[in-house]
Amino acid sequence: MSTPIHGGGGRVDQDGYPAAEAQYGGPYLGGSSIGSVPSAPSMGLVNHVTSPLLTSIALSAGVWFDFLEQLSQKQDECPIPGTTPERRTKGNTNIESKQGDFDTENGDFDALSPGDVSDKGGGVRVGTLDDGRIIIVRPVSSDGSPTIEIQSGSRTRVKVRYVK
Amino acid sequence: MSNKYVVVIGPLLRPSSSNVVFDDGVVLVQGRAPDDVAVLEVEFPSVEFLGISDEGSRLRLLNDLDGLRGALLKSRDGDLLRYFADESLHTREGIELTHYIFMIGEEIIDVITREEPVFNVTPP
Repeated sequence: MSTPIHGGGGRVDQDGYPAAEAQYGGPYLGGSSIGSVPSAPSMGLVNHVTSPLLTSIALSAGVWFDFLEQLSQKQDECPIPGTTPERRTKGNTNIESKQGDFDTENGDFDALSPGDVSDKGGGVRVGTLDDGRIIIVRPVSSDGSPTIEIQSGSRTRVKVRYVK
Repeated sequence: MSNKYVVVIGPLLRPSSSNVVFDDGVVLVQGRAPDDVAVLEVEFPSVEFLGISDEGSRLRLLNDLDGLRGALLKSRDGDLLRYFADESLHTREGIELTHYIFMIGEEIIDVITREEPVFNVTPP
């Protein structure tokens, strides 16, 4: 027996399957019927085959999720010592603050020994950290504080505001 | 020092955040206090241009402001207005356009409009 999920007037045979299902030996997804739920005996074989597969997929997804979460946390880490967390935006920017000025932030930038440093003029420098993240030191920000910004490949971003 | 920018509303308390709604041509910009309560609302009955960017990508503007800061500034002569004039092939000439610049939270919100906005500011 089967329980029709949806039927729109298609011909149904004595077992409850639409006629085409009876002919082809399985649920028929075309026409006016979008399928049926087979009875328990036929589900047993399906469960026997699919359960380990689904468990395996779920475990793999879990491992990937954990890996991505760890990666995200790492990308979100602030490599500058002595900062204080301020807030995290909904857009995943991690805002931190540190007491200091433009000289302090330049000292912190240099202490991280970024590679491929490029001077953009006006006190703005860009480099690459060992872990591949981009680091930008700048004397300006929208609130006036000198800021170091660290960008990962994802949308995660860290900003350290230097406040007096 | 650039005098082409004027402060309309001073800086909000830190840390603030922004909320922008575009609804069928009408734009509402909110500035929110640390407790997420709206302390500033500015409604534009119509806009010619709307842009939102992270403040870190607006370093030329921040340099150009030369230390001038506020939750809302305005200008009648800036790079964005010139870009907009070029982009519209100067078909808006003769219309007085104003560039409003919100600096709230981590974003800079640019609005170019020909109309006066409606302000609603909650005193701190």
